[in-house]
Amino acid sequence: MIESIQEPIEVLVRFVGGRIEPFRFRWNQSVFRIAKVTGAWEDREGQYRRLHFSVLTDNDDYFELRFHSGDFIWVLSKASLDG
Amino acid sequence: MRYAIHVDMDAYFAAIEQRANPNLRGRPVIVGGAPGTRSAVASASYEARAFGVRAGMPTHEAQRLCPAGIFVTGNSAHYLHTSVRLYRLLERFSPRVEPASVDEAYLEIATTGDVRAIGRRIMACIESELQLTASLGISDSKYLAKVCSAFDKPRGMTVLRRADVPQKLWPRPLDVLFGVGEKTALRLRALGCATVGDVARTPVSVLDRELGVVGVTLHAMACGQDRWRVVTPDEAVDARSIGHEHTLERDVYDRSAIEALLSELSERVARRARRASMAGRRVVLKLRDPRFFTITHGRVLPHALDTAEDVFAVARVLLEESRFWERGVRLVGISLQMLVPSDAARQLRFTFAGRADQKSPVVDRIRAKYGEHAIGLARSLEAGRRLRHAGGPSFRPPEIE
Repeated sequence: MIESIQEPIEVLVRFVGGRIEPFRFRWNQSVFRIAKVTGAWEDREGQYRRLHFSVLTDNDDYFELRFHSGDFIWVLSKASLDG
Repeated sequence: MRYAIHVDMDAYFAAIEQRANPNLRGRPVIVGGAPGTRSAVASASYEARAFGVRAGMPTHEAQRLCPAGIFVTGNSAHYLHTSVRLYRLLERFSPRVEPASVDEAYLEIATTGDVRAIGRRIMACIESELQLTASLGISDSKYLAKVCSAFDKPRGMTVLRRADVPQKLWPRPLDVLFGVGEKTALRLRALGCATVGDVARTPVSVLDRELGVVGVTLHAMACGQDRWRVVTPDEAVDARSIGHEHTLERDVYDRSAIEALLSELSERVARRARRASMAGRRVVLKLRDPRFFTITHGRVLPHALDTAEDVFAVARVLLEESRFWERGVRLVGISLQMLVPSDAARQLRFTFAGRADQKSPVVDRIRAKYGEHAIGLARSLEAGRRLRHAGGPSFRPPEIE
C-alpha cells in the first residue's frame, strides 16, 4: 500500500553530471540508504520548480521524495513499506 | 515510400508506476482515485486487465472485479515528464513527430528500406531508455496506422497497407473504426453491418442518409481512405491562449469588486475554452492601474483547466499574491494559456467525477438556450452590475427562445 506522507525530511544528495542524486535520507529518526533512484521528474508550483524522485532503499522499500526550489525543503511525499 | 507510424504506449500510467516501484511489477496495478471515492480508473496494468478492469471504469467496480488490485493515485507530472522524453526519443527517428496525447504519437518516415526494422528500433529504444513498452502501427495512411497499432498489444507491431485493407481490416468488428461506440455500432448493425467490410460494401448514400456525415466518414475509413496527415506542433493551429479583459468605467480600489469581475471573466474564458474543446495549464492575470502601468502574473498548474470555478480559484490567488489592486485598477484580464485538447487534460486529471466538470456542460446548454447571462457564479453578480453600468456587453436580458 502506497501512503501519502508529506513530512519534511533531511536528505543527502550527490551532484553528478548536472543531476541531483539523493543517496540517503532521515525520516522518523531512522536513516534510509537509497539503493536505486527509479524515477526523476519535475513540476512547478508557481515560479518554483519541484523535483521529484522515486527511490528504492536497501530493504526494497519504496519512497517518493520532493525538493522545493523555493524554500529548499525536502519532503517525503509517499511511502510503500511492504516491499 | 512515406509511412505513418503510430506509437501507442502500453498501459502507460500503470507501467510508469511499475517502473518507479519495482515492487509493483507483475501485480495488478490500478491507477486512479482511491476505492470508495467517486472516481474512475485512469489506467490498469495488464495483470489487472486480466480481471476485466478497464480505463474509465468506476474504481468501486474495479475493486469488485479485482479485490487484490493495488490502487495507486496518479501522478500527472511524472507521466508528462516521461511523455516529453518519449517525444524527444521519437524525434531522433524523424523530424516529423506529432504528439497525439500523453501516451501516443505519430511519426512520418520516408524510407526505401525496411520500415519494420525502423519500427523494431523504435520499440527497442523505448524499452531500453524509458523501460516502458509500446505497440506500433505502421501504414501508408495515418488513420490505418492508428487502427492497426491496437491489433497486437502489448509490445506488438502491425503493418497495414491500404492495399491490404480488404484482407486485413474488413473481417474486423465495427469497433476498430475510429469513433464507433455502442450507439453507432447499434445503428450500423441495424443496417446489417457486423464487420468493417460490411460498412465498406454499404453504399455511401445509405450511410449518409442514416448517419449523416459520420456515416460518410466511416465509409471512407472502412475503405482505408483518409486525409489525416502528421501535423507537428509547429504546424498546428496557433491557439496559444484564450483570454478576456475588461476596462472599468472608473478606477476600482475594492478587492471584492475586482474579484467579482474576475469571476465573470473566468466564466467567459472557461466557456470559450470548452467550446474549442481545449483546456489550459497556465492562468495569467492582467491588471492595469490608473496610470496605465500594467502587470501580468501567471501560474502553471499541474492539470489543465476548463471550468469557471477552477480558473477563478487560480485568478483569485494570483490577485491576492500580486496585491496590485491596492494601487487601483482600471483594467482586469484573464487568459488561459498552454492549451491542450480537453480529452488529454481529463485523461491526466484523475477526478473524473469532478463536480464542476459535470456541471459545466449543463451550464453551457442553459446559456446556449437562454442567453449568455442566464446563469453564472453568484460572485459575478456584482461584476454584472458594474459592467452594466459601464455599458459593457455583460448581463443582457436572457434570450428566450
